[in-house]
This record gives sequence, structure tokens and C-alpha cells, in this order.
Amino acid sequence: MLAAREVTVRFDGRAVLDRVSLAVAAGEVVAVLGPSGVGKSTLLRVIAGLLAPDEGTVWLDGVDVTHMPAHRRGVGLVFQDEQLFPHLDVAANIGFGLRMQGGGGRARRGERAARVGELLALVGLAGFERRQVASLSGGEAKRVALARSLAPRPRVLLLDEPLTGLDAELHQRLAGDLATVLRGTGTTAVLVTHDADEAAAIADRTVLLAS
Amino acid sequence: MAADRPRLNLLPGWAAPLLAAPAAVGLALFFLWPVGTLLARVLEPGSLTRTLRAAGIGEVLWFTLWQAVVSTLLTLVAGLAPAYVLARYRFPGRRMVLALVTVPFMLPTVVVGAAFLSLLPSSWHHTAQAVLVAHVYFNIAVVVRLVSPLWAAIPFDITAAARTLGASPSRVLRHVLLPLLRPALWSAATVVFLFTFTSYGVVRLLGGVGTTTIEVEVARRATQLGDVDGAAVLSVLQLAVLSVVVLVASSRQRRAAVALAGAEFTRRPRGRRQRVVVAGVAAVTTAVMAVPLMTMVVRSLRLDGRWTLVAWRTLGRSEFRPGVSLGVDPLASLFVSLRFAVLAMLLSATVGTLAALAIALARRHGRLLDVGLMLPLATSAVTVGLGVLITFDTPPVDWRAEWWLIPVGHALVATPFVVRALLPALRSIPSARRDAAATLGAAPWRAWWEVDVRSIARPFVGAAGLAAAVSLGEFGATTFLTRAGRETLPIAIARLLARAGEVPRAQAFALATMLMAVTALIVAVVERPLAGGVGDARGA
Repeated sequence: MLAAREVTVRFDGRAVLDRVSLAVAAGEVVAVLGPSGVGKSTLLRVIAGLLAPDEGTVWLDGVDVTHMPAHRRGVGLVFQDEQLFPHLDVAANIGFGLRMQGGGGRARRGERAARVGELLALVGLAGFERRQVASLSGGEAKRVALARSLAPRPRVLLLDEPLTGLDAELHQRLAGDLATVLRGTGTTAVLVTHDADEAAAIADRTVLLAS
Repeated sequence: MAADRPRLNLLPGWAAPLLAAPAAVGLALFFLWPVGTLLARVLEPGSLTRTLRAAGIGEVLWFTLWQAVVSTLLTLVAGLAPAYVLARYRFPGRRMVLALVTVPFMLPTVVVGAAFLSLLPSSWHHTAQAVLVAHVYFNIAVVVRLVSPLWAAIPFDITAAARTLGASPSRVLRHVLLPLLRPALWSAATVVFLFTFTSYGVVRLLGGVGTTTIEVEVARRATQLGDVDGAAVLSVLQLAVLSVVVLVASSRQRRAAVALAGAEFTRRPRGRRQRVVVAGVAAVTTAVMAVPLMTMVVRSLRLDGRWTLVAWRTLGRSEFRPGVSLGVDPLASLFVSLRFAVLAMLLSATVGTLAALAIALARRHGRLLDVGLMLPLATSAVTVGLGVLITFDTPPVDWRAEWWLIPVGHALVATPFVVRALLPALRSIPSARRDAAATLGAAPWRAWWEVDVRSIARPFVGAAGLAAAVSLGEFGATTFLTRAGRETLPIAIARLLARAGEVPRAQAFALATMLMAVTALIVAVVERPLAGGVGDARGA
């Protein structure tokens, strides 16, 4: 389904990723575990198409997508610090990807609203449509970010330290919810974390990325 | 918070009205009264309809409006690329590019007008295109300075997030970047619109028949046609439009604000493509900003296709050929300008400092004086000049021909800058610092000297320099008050450019070069203390 082959990325001559390979089967949730600074986030950026690798290739469904721009890849990414759009409310944030896919017709708008409601229910925030992004708590913002990335039904969902910075109780609850959501939607996902327990709680399989 | 409230411990509360008095009297006498006279003139029966029906007025109103709208749009578009590169990337020469973009805005409008006369082919002179190009050049600083800081506050990953959600680069711009930049874009658009709608110097030099703004038409009617009523109607009409624009803009402003964290997201250009983009935009911006001014300097040194100092050497003569008078003494105008600038600076620095102290002291009522002093800036210079001209024309206030009216007018426009520069410094002095000085054995006057005076010394120097620069470049109000034999530099430059012949033109470019050099020198000297003052205020 997803394969990164011999990916190398250098910043100012220093190799951040050195011939790294990763393969993920359809519907599989894989955790990439490693200490900070080994290039876990960089690997996600290469897969998402936000960063071109110096060497190596990225494959999706048997097609080489190394040179396909991010917006055509259909790879979702949940950022460590959410990166919600501050000028849009919760519904418009979640509907953003759907809006980018289709036109702005009336029928489409109805469809979109239904999908947004469905996703909010899925992440446990039913009724949050009109809330302003700035008014969300840390945990709520993470859930909205997850819903936003899932909305356009990405082929692969990437999650960059999605639970970092939450207190222990919230962390545990969200880890459980995240596992349920990913399984329930049959999403192929790559999760990056430095926490082995978190990896074990969410992923089917854990791989190590060492420097 | 209350403990930190600035307390000018040497000055009792009743001192505030005394300190405010010079500014208040000056404002009432040289601004409120003249503008009131202007309004009264317009309200006279028949005056309004007669003017609006006069031939050519519709054309003037239409040109003023459309050139302001088009200038604003073009400036926004032209400013986006430099704003983006300066906001997003750290690169060698970044500060120089930023300074260069700001230069035209600091320069007198006459210099910008002269520069474009020297640059553009003569078929472009006195056309709408020439006015638009010069307006974009002059105002690009507004867009860059207002948009850049906000752009730098938008996290890189917010656009990355949009891309992973399927947004193409153009849709990232339309759906994410532009909405986030909207508050800055709106304020830039408002400021540029106000400047170009009331544009005087640039249009006086580059416009022509059919390409005249209200501002220029007011001056033409009052000083050349003797149609004071018509001029009054037009200037009041302009004032009304300005008030509406300001009101609409400020209500929009309040709605448009979006919360972004205060962090700055800037990086070195990475990879070939980014480096090419950054280098390209920086190079083009530098060239575009520098070329008109350089052309002007070069043209002052060339006559009949040869390099020569003739224009510069003959500046001291008021005849450019024996027996043929120039009607203006170019070199003398430099000294007139310098003298007026010094007077205006002393006047506005004194009155402005007293007013700033009063405003800081009086709080609630201080706000009224603060806003009042801003009014002459918000009103156009031509309106102020016209008002003064028609008010002080009968004894005992028949001051129309008095030389001191010019520096007083300049001081009126410069005082708000002094107040703006001093107030933040005055308000940021924590009284704890004064108390600290007292506990270290300083007598009250000593503590006041060491703490208060020293804190505002640097912003004061900056404000005074700015006032001098404002006076040197002032053109609109001076048009009405100038008399033969005491032309200021901008007036002399405009006169020379209006004359036929190569020599007066080269002399005009030489004078404009001098005006540019003096202004640049002042701004360069002043920028440092101003920057230091801001740092100090933050440190306190």
C-alpha cells in the first residue's frame, strides 16, 4: 500500500534520514518509534509530499509518487501542534479538505455538513460545529485536527506525535479513542512517537528508527 | 498595575492645562478656525451647486476616485512579493532591502515626482500611467511594512496542513494565506487609498489635463483662477469622503482581527528554487526602488548628452541665461527651507513635548487633545493651507503674507509626530524607577532629570528630526502660503520643472537630489535613536 524506499534527506550536508525504508499494508497501523531528532517527522513530511527526498522513492498503491505534489497525493497529516486554521470555525476546518475536493454547489454543501457532523460524532465532539478554534481545549483541538485529516478520506493518514503534550489521563483516553477511530474507519496509518507504550496501545506493529 | 502607573511626581495635576495650552491654542487658531471658515464658506447659498455644475469638476472627481482605487490595488499586488520574501526568509542584505523599500515613503512627494519625470519617457509625462506608477512606488512601503510582520507570524505548517488536505498552491493563497493576512491587507489598503486619494505632490508634477486630483484642483482654483468658493467646496467634499472612508475602515478593522501567536516564522532559503525566488525578488525590489532616484541624480549631471556640472554650478543664479529670469532662486530656496525646517522643528518639539506631558498627566481629557492634534494630519495639507489663506485675510489677523505662517503650518503637521513619539516613552516610565533613584539619594529634581528626561531624550531627538523632515518636504499647505522671494525647496523644484528647457529641468533634478540627501541624512540620524527608544521602552 505505502512504501518508502531508501529515503535519504540531507540538511546542509548532514543526513537527517539515511536510506530509510518503510512498508505499510492496507488497513495497517504502524508506529515509528525513536528518540527525538532521528528524523521521524522528516520521514512523514517526505511521505506527505511536503519535502522532496534527496534520494529514494515513495510509492502508493504501486505508483511512484515521489514527485507528486502534496495536494494531489491524498496523504493526510495530523500535525504535532494541530495547525488548525484560526480564521475558520470547527466545521469549516473539518470541511476544508472536502471543499478542496469538490466545487461549492448547494448539494455539495449539504453533503459536506453531513460528513462534518459524522466526523465530529466520531471523535466525540458532536455539536461543536460553530465553535471558534481559539476556544478549544488542548484535547479538543487534537480531536478536531484528527477529524479534519480524516474528512477527505485520505489513502494514508500520518500522525506526528499526536498525543504529546497532554496530561496523563487525557493521554490515555485519547490513545484509546485514536485506536478505535483508526480501526473503525479502516484507515491505513503511520504514527510517529517517542513513547513505546503509546505505540503499543495504538499500533498493530512498531518499527524502530535509530540514528 | 496601579503601582506602575506613570506618575510625573514633580508635576501637580493643575499643571496639565497649562502644558496643554500652547498646543490647544495653536490648534484652535491655525486649524479649527480655518477649517471652520472653510465650512462656513461652503454653506453659503448657491456655492455648492455652482461648483458642482462647473465644467470639468465631474472629470476631476472621477479621476481622483479611480486612480486611488487602481493605485491601491496595484500597490497591494506589487507589495505582496517583497512582503512575502522579507517576512519568510532570512538572507544577507535583508535589512538593506527593507530600508530601501521604506525610503520613497520617507522622501518628499516632490522628490518622487521629480524622480519619475527623470525616469519616464516624455510621452508618459502628465498621463494617468505616470501617476499610477509613482503612487505604487511611493506607497509600496505601506504594504510591506504592514503585511510583512503578520505574514511572519503565520506558521509554515499551517500552509503545509492545507496542502495535505488537497489545496493547490493557488488555493492555499486564496483560502488560507489571504484570509489570515486580511487585517493587514485592509489597513494597508485604507492607508494607501487615503494617501492616493489626497495625492498632491506626485499629481502636481506627473498629472496633467484630465489627470488631476481634487487636491491639485483645489490648489489650482484657489491660487491660479481665484475661485476660492469652488476650491472650498471641493476641499470640503474631499473631507467628507475621507471621513466616510476612515469610519468604514475602522469598523472593518475591528471585525477582521484574527488571533495568531506572537512567534515569528522565518528561515533561511532552502534548496535551489527558494534561493532563486529570494534572490530574484530581492534584486528586482532593490533595482525598482533605486533606479528612479539614481536616474534623477544622473539627469542632474547631464546636458545635451554630456556629463556636466552646469546645472549644479548655476544653482546660485536666478537667471539661466543673461536677462532670462528663472523666477526663482534655486540655491536661496535651500536656505529658506532649512531655516523653516529649524523653526518648525523647534516649535513642534516644544509645543509637542508640553502637549505629550499634558496628555500623559491628564489621562481622560488628554485623549481629546491627542485626537485633536492628529486632525491636521488626517485632513489634507491643501485643505489646511486653503483654510489658513481665507481666514487670515482681514485685520487684525491679516497674516496671509507673513513669512512665519509657513513654519507655523509645518509645525501644525509635524506636532502629532512629536506627540506620538514621546507618549509611549512617557507612559512606559515606571514610577518604581524614579523611587529607586530617590532611595539612591537623588533629590526629586535630580530623580526627574536622571529618569524622566533621560528616558525621553532619545525619542525626543527622533521626533525632532522627523519634524524637520516633514517641514522640508511639505508641499501642499506651502503652495498657499509661499510668497515671491521665499520659495521652499519643493516649491522651487515644482517651479523649475514647470519651465521649458533642459537647464531648469536639470537644476530641478539637482535641487531634488539635495532635498533627497538632506531628508535621507535626517532619517538616517533619527532612525537610530528611535529604534533605541523602542528597545528601551520594552526593557522597562
